[in-house]
Amino acid sequence: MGAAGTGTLAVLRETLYRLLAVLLLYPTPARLRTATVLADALAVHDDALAALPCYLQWRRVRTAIETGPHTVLEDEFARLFLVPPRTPPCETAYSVAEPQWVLADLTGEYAAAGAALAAEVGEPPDAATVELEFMAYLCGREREAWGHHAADAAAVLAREHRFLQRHLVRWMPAFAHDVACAAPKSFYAQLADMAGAFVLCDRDLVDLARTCLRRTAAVPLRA
Amino acid sequence: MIAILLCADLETPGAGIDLAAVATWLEGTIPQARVQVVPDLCGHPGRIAPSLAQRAPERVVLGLCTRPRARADLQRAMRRAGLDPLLVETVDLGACAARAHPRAHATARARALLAGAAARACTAQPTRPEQARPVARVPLSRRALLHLAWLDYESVPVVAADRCRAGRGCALCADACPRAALRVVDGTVELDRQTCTACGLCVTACPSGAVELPGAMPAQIEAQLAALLEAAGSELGPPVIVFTCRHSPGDLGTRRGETHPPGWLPVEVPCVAMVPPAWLLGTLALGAAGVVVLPAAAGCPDGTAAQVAARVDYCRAVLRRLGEPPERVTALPAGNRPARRTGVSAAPGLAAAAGPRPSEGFLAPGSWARLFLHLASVSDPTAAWHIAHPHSPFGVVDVGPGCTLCGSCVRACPTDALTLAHDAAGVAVVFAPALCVGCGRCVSACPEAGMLRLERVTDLARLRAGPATLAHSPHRRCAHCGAAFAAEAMVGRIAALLADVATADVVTRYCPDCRAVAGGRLSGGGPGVRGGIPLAALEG
Repeated sequence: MGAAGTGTLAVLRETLYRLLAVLLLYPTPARLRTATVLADALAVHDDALAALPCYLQWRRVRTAIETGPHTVLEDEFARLFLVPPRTPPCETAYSVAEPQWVLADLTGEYAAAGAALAAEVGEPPDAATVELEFMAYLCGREREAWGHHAADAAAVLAREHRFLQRHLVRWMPAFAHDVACAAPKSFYAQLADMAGAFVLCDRDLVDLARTCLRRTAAVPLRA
Repeated sequence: MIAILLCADLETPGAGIDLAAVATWLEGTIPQARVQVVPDLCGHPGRIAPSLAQRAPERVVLGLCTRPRARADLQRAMRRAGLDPLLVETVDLGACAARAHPRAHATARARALLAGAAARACTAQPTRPEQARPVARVPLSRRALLHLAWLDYESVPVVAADRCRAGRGCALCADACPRAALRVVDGTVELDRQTCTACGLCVTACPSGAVELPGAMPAQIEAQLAALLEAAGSELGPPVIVFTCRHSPGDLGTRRGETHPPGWLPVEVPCVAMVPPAWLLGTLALGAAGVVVLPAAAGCPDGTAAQVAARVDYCRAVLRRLGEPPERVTALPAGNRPARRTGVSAAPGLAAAAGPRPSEGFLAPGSWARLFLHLASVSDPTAAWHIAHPHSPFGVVDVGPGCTLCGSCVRACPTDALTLAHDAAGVAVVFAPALCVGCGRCVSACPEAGMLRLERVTDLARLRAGPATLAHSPHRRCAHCGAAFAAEAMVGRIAALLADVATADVVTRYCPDCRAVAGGRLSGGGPGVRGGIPLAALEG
């Protein structure tokens, strides 16, 4: 990680979020190819990943991506997420708050960060893939901010913290639990397990980064 | 399978350890153990993964020359080996054996310490993601943040919602927390992960075992104690268990050239203040000659020294009753450790005198009464002593005359020590002394001032006698339908309170189902039928 240089943590997190987001979409060959590319990119940072407690889950997912067979995933995805009784990968299924409130809050979060859900996505704002992709988007902005002005990075980190705390951390572990109960040996159980572990881990990383920024001078680091 | 990896350099520091003898003994004694001596393991944690590559162990114990300084490196190495680092036990064999004792003793101690660590590792439950928390052991800087080489994780407790009684008003974990990191909100325990120091006090304060802290669960400590004492035997002299704080582990008095007796065997806990009296006395029941509580050298940052001293004082009171030297349980002050001058008694273990040890699970909350009865059976099976002490793990509840059996105390009791028993004859409040932790929730909940009395007392006779009825009342039956609807005592109390109210007679004579009908008539409804029941029927 050290050799990879400044901003790598944000890159790493961005790639992880993007990988999780793409794998929680219906597994078309194109998406799986994208996932393989992202997994290969993460493999470069294996030393840094090994510092995180979700490393064991990551290894299982990586092995599954590498070994396939990917045709099984279509059946698993449909059985778990499309056909009743299903375990929908979306926040409103797990939130105790009113669905309208959750959707409105999410849309507001996306808009406040300068993002909007494209119509062709075909997923609701509370879909796991959308929320994870949004975190990837924030990490990308954080990566850019690290090279310019610490205040910008702090603002993005605050947004990440807020989004994780209000959304992903609240429901992703419960989603992982449900998928594990529904299909304990499936790829998606491993994937959801990793997603649940990673959002908890990332919340702590974001907290650390914010603490760090509060304590240090606002001197920009070069990317 | 459990893998035990030993640093080959342990052969050299001080008198050294006979690693081959240790390995042979461990593999012969622990069937699932596989021991490997790894060259310079302490300096190269990266060698862990290759060493374990062909074995796929479920648990790992590391015997190292010193306490690992580069914890982050070690944790990364464990993850690379496919293991959860929070479940790995490390033993500082350098400080605890190789550098402190002659070779024969060091070898015997290493054997015992590794056997104890293996037992502790084997009884560990898998951790959950929320139980890991990053620790910044270096000054946080932006550059440090951008390379994660320093990042290591430690365990924090989580509360198992299915066992937690916070919904019934229990807040014992929050009360025990020295940092106020736990609080009960809307019947749920919330943990402030940043404030929590993972001291473990909440683990032993929870009467239902709902607080889980990997590495410090009662089952793990019990397994370690049993294995440690069994492995130590008598070769090292009378075995004395030393509960040490994680902030200064392995520090058994080696400063200023002092050493500790070879029979002193450390058991590391997150904070010595988490060790309840039952653990101290239970250690004796497992065969230890003595128990020492050794706080952090710099003193406890949470100021728990008085609490530790009070618990030791209680244990000594118990030992006196048992006819044992009270010095068998001792707390050392923080700072230098004049180990040889503490006067810890080397009497034979209670278990040795009693024969069999208490059955497994006696360190878990809720099982402590079993331990006390076992201890008492060693000295005098008919003994009936009682000890009133603020640190008694038990309480005794008594009910004065006039209890209405409303059940408020029962609903408030977090351990089910108080229950309501219904039968054909009536209703009773039943008290199980073995389950009472003396929290006082029942006293607070009782609507009748002064009705309930609680005493923090270990009453052997009552523990032995088991559940007892504290109050009983026959049922009051509805004057109309004959159904039992309240305790006579409750109805009597209500009648007294409503002495001047016109409807008192209806309330006290009829069940809620029939009461509406009678109420309608009394309120001027006149003759007729309400609720399908002719009012005239009520007169009969």
